[in-house]
Amino acid sequence: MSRDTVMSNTSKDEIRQLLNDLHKRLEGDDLKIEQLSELMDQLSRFVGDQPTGDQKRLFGELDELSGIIRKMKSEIASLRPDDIKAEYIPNATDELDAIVNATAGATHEILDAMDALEEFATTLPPEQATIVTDATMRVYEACNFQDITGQRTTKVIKALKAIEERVEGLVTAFGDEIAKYAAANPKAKKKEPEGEESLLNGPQLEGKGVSQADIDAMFN
Amino acid sequence: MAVDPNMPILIVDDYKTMLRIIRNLLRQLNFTNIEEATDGSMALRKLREAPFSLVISDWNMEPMTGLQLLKEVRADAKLKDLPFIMITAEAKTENVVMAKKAGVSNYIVKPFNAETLKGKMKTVIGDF
Repeated sequence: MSRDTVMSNTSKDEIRQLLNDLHKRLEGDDLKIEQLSELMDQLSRFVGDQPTGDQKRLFGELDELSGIIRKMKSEIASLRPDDIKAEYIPNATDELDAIVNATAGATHEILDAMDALEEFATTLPPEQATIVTDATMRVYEACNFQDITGQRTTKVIKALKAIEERVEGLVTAFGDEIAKYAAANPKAKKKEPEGEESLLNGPQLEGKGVSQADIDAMFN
Repeated sequence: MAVDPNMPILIVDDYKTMLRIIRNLLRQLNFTNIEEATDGSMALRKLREAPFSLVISDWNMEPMTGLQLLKEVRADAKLKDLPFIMITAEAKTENVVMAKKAGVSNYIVKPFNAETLKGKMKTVIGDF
């Protein structure tokens, strides 16, 4: 009589229960390596010293699964999703907000200037006034860009927020692995730019850089 | 019948810049009696408070969108025949179909120029 047939119905039910639990955890993205090891330990209780071919295959599959999950978690942790959430996405959305605000401000300035030109046109002879008002109308038309770029940028910001939420989910789910990875792989110190390169950081966000008044104060 | 350049026009957009652009373009088309609203509910309040001859509205606004405003206008016995032009960046066929179904008089996709605005206004309110 084979070992399978002597295995009691209770034991089989317990194994089935364990495998169902494993299946649910896999479906719910909620499987931890420790749980898989625990499952293998529990299964080994039913198998004894001389496992059958099927049982060996089952253990082999579980062992392989455990390896895949470990590798996957390590790869995800190595992407440092905590950095993406804490640094890159907030910086990107701040820069995009700054673009929208800057283009809105510039557009209002342009419109103010056009209003002044239109006012001036009323003092000109009709032929010259027409030239000025035609030109200002073209500028008004071109200023449509601000609305469109604003709406497009808002779409990008929404997409970034959606990515941020998913990354947050990853950070929550893989928090332990990320912390372990970070402890084992401290960030290589970035090579700081030197000389003039260190001074080239592009435009600063509102309130981050020095104002012209600050600069003037340095010259007084 | 000639269009009265002093006819009251309500322009609705949540972008102040856009309101200013449309106002200036209308002014260059000699329309000067222009009122502004920054969302659908403010527009609806203004429409119920005073008579208007034309509404030019954006679609994507909060809390009440341009489409909701259009539906409210068409459902209101006093406003249901009011000419209503939608000016929006929403450029999918289904948007236009939906707006037409809701009773929009005409539809302009952003970015637009004065010529397009003038042409659609002529179609809706008559030659000027």
